[in-house]
Amino acid sequence: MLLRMAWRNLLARPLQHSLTALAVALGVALAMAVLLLAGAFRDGITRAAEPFDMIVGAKGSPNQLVLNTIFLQDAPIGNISWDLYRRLEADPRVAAAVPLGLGDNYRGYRLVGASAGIFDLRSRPGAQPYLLIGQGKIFREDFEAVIGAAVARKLNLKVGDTFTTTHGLAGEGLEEEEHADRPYRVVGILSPAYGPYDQGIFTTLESLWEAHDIKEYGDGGESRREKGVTAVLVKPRSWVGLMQLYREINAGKEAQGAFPGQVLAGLFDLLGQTRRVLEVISGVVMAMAAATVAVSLYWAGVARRRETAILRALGASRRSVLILTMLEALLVTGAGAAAGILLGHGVSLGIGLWLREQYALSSLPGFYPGEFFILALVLILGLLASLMPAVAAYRSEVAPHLEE
Amino acid sequence: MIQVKNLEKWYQGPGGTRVLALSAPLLDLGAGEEMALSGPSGSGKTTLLHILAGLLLPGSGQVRVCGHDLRRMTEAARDRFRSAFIGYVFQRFNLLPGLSALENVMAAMAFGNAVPPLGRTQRAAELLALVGLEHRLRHRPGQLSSGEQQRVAVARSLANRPSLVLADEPTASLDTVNSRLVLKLLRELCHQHGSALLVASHDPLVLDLFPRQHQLRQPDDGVRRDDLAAAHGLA
Ligand SMILES: Nc1ncnc2c1ncn2[C@@H]1O[C@H](COP(=O)(O)OP(=O)(O)OP(=O)(O)O)[C@@H](O)[C@H]1O
Ligand SMILES: [Mg+2]
Repeated sequence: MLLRMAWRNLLARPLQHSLTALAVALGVALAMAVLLLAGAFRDGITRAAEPFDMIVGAKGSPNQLVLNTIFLQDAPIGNISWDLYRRLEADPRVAAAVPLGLGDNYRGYRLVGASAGIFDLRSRPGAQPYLLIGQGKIFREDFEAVIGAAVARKLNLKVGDTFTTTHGLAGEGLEEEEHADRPYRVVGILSPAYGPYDQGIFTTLESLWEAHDIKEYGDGGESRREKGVTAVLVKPRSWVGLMQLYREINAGKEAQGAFPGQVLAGLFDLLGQTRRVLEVISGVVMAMAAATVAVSLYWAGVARRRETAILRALGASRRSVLILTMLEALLVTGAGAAAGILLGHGVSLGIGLWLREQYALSSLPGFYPGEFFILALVLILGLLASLMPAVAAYRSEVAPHLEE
Repeated sequence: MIQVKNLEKWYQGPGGTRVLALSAPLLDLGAGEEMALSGPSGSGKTTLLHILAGLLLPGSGQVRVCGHDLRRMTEAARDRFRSAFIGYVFQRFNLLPGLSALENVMAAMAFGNAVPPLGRTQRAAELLALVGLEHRLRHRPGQLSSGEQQRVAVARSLANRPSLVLADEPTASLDTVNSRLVLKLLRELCHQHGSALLVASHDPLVLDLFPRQHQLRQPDDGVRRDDLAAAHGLA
């Protein structure tokens, strides 16, 4: 009965209490979105980094190297020699080495020259390869291309289609003679990896070099291997060997080795600060929502003093009146929190889909295990907020308000 | 049922003055009896009913209601006492606006334990039928006429099978026809339940119905209020 009365009391002022619930919902939604997106972002980035144990590239910023290689973003630092690749490949501590060359763009999508070993990258031994052919086959000949799922979708390319690239970033406006470029032929389309490589176009290293030479020296340039590779993805035989290799490479002058996991952890620290700011903001919004609950219930209580007096005249104890107000707070905050959790999921799913679309970041925000905790926390906050109005109702005198 | 002796209630008036709101030298009412409480406006009728219901603390003097000395009870004890022994009917009905007629009657039961939870809906419906509102169970107070609202209040006052029903000018907001109906129902239901009934009123139409009456005098706290009325030719 008390619960029903609490519910009816809320229904008696639908606008006021909806607004209060809305305030709670916004606070919760913001907190949820921050938590969910941060989680999804980290997940996505971590997952994108999983297939790469160590990346070897030109000396320079490890962040740039990792962003180049894993996310196909940013401009490449420079090249390392083909010779270094050969040495890495031959190193007994290395299980597999995949040379990678970052090349031209085709309508904003990066061309990646690689050995066929790139189709054998796995996040864990025994796991499915990171890149799976969905349609067609792996490239064998030069100027055969395997395109990422997103590229195929966005550019509406099918197996058998051909395209030509322009040198450097798209739209740079180099006045190259188009007919000088040899067209690529799509021979395969990858299944969605839900990672940055969905936005890559993969071909042989030789194709990249050749395209380059055609542009710079005309057809038939000399020793193309001299051009080197942008990076080498190294799969070690053992962790100890990996650490040794890492130290050796970084001690040398030729190249740097980077652990994507470590580099990304550093980036997370930066992200973490943004996240902390957002968390503080959500905290402030939540506190404001709690204050709204308190004030709203207080004024509802004042407006309802007569009804409270009536309840008391019917035999309700002070405690019942106190509980009634708290129940109202629980209902309002509960409804608000539930709406906020849904809203938070909705918003972060929307942003997550957008992120996936824009940056091919894999993970979509899912169910956050702390949600019940948030719900409980918000309810406790609501209860605390109701203390002031509840005590006011508790202390309200009966007789003077009965015949108001 | 009610034993009042030398009861006085003072209020703190504005500017530190003290106002004598009620002075009742002697009042007795037995179980199941009925009585009217009369007296001019300001003589303390409402104050006395509030005290008897345990809503206000008595000042000086003795008050026993249903065997309880109200002066010696804590507020929580008086709340329990009220839900167990007292039914109250107000001049302005005082129904809970968010609840239906049925729920209003049930609300009273919710705070007592006179009626087991499972029997509450049925008992509330029966009481409302007794006051002729079986076709208005789901109506909110706002959807009821004044007479109907006061009949709901009468039904509600008997919800917990009280030993004593207190009615403060129960007909003052009603027309003559409804006044008669409400009073008739109130007396009938109290009689059926064996509840004592004390009705405060200054309406002769009401007072005439009660063989037993108790007249409260204008309390004399030194300020001659009667003169005011006399000066305006109203006494
Ligand atoms: N809270 C209060 N503070 C100060 N004085 C009060 C208070 N409540 C009532 N009084 C005074 O006590 C006196 C008795 O009031 P009460 O309401 O009991 O009279 P009543 O007999 O019910 O009058 P009426 O017939 O007009 O309802 C009045 O003079 C009133 O001014
Ligand atoms: Mg009165």
